[in-house]
Amino acid sequence: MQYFPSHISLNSKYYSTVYSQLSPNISFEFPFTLSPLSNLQKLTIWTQIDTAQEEIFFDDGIHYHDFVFYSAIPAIALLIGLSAPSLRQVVLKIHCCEFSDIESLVEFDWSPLILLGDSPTCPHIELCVSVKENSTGRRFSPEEITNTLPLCPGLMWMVNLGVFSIKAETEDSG
Amino acid sequence: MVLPVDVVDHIFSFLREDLATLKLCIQAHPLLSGIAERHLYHTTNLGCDLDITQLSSLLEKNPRIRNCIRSLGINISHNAKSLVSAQTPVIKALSSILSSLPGLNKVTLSNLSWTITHTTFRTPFINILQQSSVTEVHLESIYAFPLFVLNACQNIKTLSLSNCEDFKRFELTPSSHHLESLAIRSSDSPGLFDWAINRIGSLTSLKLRPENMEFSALPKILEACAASLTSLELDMHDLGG
Repeated sequence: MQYFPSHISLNSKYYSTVYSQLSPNISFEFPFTLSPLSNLQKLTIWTQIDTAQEEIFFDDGIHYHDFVFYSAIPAIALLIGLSAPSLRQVVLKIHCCEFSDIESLVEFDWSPLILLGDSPTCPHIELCVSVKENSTGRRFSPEEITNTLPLCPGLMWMVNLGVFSIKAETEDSG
Repeated sequence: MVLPVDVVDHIFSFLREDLATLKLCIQAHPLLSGIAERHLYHTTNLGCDLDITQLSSLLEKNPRIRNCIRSLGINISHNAKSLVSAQTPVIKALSSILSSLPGLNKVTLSNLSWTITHTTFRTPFINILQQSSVTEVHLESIYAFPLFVLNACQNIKTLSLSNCEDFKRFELTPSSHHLESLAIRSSDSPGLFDWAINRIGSLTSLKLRPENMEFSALPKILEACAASLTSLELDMHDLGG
């Protein structure tokens, strides 16, 4: 059970939020910055986005069952944002676990990365995305992923600017 | 038209994972035989692709093949007891194979508890790590490997440790041994990072898949190679759970 968090975002289908947490009980931040790595050119990070169904209570007594996303994406965006200027290439291997459907990709709040991409010093970011469905355990095909991600306008804006590139994958780890 | 040998050699290099085709090429023409043979044995995985005693016999009959082996993988998890005694055919064959591979560059040892192995295996294995041509070492699911033996392996520039536990007798004194590439994946062993810190002053590539306990050690690791590191890979799959 969880009370309505202050930074929750509203959209047409779900209430969704992104926690900078790896799981409901583990808050997450990197214990270092990359700024001292003065010659770092390429950064690759494997991470995952988890979902959990939670009961959310409002002050007026109404409560909802909702899917909440847990990820380290906000912390990763901060890490990249504070890196040395030598960093030119970032590869984010993002595995989306236990998604109820492929549309959850659209519900996820990608804004920490989009804000990062808005910076003129942002390195090129390659997003490699794989998605697993929770009910069947099947992995969505690259076609399903590439057909869905264009529904995320902020991401596509960055792709059109050449700051991001997106690749759909079927594996979650290198 | 006859293709130059180096062109054919380059073409065959793309067939290293297609052993069946390379074997057919060896039989096809004497001119192709020598070139295909180089690539057939370039990457030799003992215990997976090839039986150890068969390879040992082959090398005795055709010593030139020893020069072809550049990457050697040893995975005998299904037959680990064969390394306990000096008298088993497997350990004798393995010792013979390791005794002379002059062109070897890369060694991969997998799925083994070092503590159960007999010195008849350990000694030639350590010797080959010290061979000047060996620059790349991969240890995968190895228990209690004595990392201190790498202190004498100045030639090794690339080291990867994957799912390894309980490395023995850390040598924490400063070392003149400097790695260029280090990968540590889910290897939970107290003191491992302290051991590594002394060897990464010139590191250019670092790949890490830390578990929770190790994550707090990352600042020290990054500080040790801050000036030289050009590529960092961080796998967070083991964090948080």
